[in-house]
Amino acid sequence: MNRERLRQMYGSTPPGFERRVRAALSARAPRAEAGRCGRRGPMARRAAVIAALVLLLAAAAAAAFHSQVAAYFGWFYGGDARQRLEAGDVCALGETMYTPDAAYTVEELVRTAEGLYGVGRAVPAEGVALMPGDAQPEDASALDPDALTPLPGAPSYLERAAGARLVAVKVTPRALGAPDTEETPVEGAGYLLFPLEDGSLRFAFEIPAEGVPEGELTLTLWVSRWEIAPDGQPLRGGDGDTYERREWRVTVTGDD
Amino acid sequence: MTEAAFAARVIAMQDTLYRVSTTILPRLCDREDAVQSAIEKALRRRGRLRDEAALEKWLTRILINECYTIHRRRRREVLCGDPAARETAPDADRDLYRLFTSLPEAYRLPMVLHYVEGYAVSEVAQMLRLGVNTVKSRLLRGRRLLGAALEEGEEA
Repeated sequence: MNRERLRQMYGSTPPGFERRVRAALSARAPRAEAGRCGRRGPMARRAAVIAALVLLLAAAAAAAFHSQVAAYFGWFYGGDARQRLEAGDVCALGETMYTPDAAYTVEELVRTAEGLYGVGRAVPAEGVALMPGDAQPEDASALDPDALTPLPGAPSYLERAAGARLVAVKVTPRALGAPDTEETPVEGAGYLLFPLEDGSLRFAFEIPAEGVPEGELTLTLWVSRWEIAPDGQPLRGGDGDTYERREWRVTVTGDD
Repeated sequence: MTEAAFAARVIAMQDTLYRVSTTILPRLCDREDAVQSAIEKALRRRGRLRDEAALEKWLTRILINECYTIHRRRRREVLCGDPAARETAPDADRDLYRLFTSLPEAYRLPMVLHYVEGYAVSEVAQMLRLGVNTVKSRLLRGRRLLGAALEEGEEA
């Protein structure tokens, strides 16, 4: 099979793609014109927002603890949003869940009229290396906070795990409920796991206000994990399945 | 490197950018988003590029990152339509493309960079941040799998 035959399977570069290349080069990129990408839902936008804010999380470790959510989400949404977040209710601080793999801490939750915003961190236990559940074992285990690209020199997750147990994890908002009432699954939430240089994972999430009732709440997070074999194969499903999911309930205090 | 020279080299490699993004992302609109983001990032950071001769490899690496970022995001979404359906150009060899995209993702990208775009194994390893032996092994396995798939297709 020669190169030309292989190239034929792609066909010609579509005119729309060429237009985007030229538009990007001339700084007139019609991003909003991505009409067919209009199928992109609020989830994608929130994921993009969270990706951007988590970059700041990684870059600004010295930020004051009480202002983290306001600083990062506010940076992305702009000054007005920052002010609203700063005026929002800090409704949970430092709740931690320990598992054999890691210690998960919700560092801050802030509630505003727009929604519930949270940031936290997963620190691996001794003998464990963590990777985001949506990453590949060959991916770099730390990202450049400037660009979401692999941090130069960062080993892959597999390399970092040499001699350790490599565990893939996910932390996702699952449900909200008032005390003594049935919980309601959250919809439209965005979340992200971001690998930090020290081997820990930053997690962040945003739940739109329409899914967040007033008053004191219990937020249920799903913490999922499964192991990765030394050859990079996920041990999830089938024989040797290592998948487990825990529910983690975090108290979200009311407005009073 | 001037902006004009940068632009000329990017335009000269846009077919490569299309093929690389198509290897990872099934939807055309996502490929367009990825290439736009990659070029914008490269434009902003081109001052950091020490070896101008490496522009094509550097931009391809940025594009791959952008594609994977979008790919991961997509896995979290509920999509309209069939997310597995791959959009192809009207003149594409769709049968071959279908066979190729049936290969595991880990094999496709090294194969495209090496066999289609002509990068050396060491360059592919550098771009994908994999070991040279890993790339060689994936190329070999990928070629075998594609060969087997082609034979099956011809027999059918």
